[in-house]
Amino acid sequence: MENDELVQNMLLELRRGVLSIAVLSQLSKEEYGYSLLKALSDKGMEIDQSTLYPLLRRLESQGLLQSDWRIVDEARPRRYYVISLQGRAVLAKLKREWSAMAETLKQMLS
Amino acid sequence: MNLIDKYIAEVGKHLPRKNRADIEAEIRSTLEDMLDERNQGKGPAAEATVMELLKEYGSPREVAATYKTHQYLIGPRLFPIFEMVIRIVFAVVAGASLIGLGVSLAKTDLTGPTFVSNLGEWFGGLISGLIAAFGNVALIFAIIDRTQVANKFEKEFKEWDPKELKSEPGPDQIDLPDHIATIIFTFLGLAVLNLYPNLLSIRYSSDGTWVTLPVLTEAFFRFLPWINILGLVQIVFNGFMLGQKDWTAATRILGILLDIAGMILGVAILRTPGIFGLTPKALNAIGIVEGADNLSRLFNSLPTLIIVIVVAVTVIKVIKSSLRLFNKSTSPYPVMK
Repeated sequence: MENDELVQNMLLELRRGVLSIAVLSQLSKEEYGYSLLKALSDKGMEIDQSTLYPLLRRLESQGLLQSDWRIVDEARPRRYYVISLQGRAVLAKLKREWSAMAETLKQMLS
Repeated sequence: MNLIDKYIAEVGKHLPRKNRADIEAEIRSTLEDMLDERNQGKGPAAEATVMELLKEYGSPREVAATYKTHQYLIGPRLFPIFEMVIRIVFAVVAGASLIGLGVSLAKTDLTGPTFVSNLGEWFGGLISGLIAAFGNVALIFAIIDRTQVANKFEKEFKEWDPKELKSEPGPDQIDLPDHIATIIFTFLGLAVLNLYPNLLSIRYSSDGTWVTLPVLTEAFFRFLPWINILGLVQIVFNGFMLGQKDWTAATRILGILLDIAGMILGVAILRTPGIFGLTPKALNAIGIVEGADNLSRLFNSLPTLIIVIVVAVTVIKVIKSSLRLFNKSTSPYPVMK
């Protein structure tokens, strides 16, 4: 029971670390918050909205995302996010780092 | 006003003013998207569905908290210094309080209910003194944490170079903890003198009623405006120095002038007769007959002793600062080998 809780906390930290990469990777085309939430969920990355929206704001304030409010197909106004040029450069670097890290861990754990 | 409106209004109350409207709009848009999905476009959603959705989304306070960045009072950069200052302040408050208790008990019947009452009163005073000290120190650190000084600490941490361990810090380099300590202790001193002068008094029970015997008299408090002016100038000066990297000739001269002004004011206060309220007469009045003369003499000889210490410390400080002002190679810092 105690171990389960420890594992849950560690997994939470682990996921928190990779969420930025996951979000950046899914924003090569425009998405609004809820559609991004669904897209991530469909690909197996469950994320709470209370984590996603503040993360989107942080990434935008860091210049990695751009956003604007729009009405598409007569729906309600929604805020659409897309990766910026700086975000693309950062994501490319993160991808390389992630691959190297995954490879190292694979060797360690095998 | 429907449930979603009420919910968003409640979240908005806890959001930072700057982005409030934007965050509110985004939450509304998300909630409506979620509701549409749950209702599958079958007209307005039932109240139960909305309630369930809001419950799932989280309490307004919790949701608002995720958007706030500065959620701590004192950050990890300043916390070690805060801990150090708190320990010193607590030791000073507890020490002063124990002296007060000692004097107060000197006349008390150590077995009677007055003793218990005195002890209870002292303990209450000690606890409230510690809480007030903690609050004041935390307030100052919270302010410092939200100014550029905290960024300066972070920059120093990031730019830290192991070579610094072997090199001698420049004599003109600003010593941040020293300036922070000066600000805090000056602030606390002014707070005690202006807001909590009762902390500087001895309370005792006389025939069932509590009487306060102030340690410092009116004669001392006549100097309070000058103490306040000098204290505030010290706080402003040290606050300004926190933003600087090195001492300059101008700041050194100003520092020396402030030290001298402090010494002059200190000597003027201590040379004023009757600044201590613990006269033989007052001590007799609270029941300390035996040893009252000695105790009073001890207190009244304190000014001379303090004058000697204050003058000596100031002279050494002024000489050191002057030497650094005129001869840059002189350094008071030990060289690490």
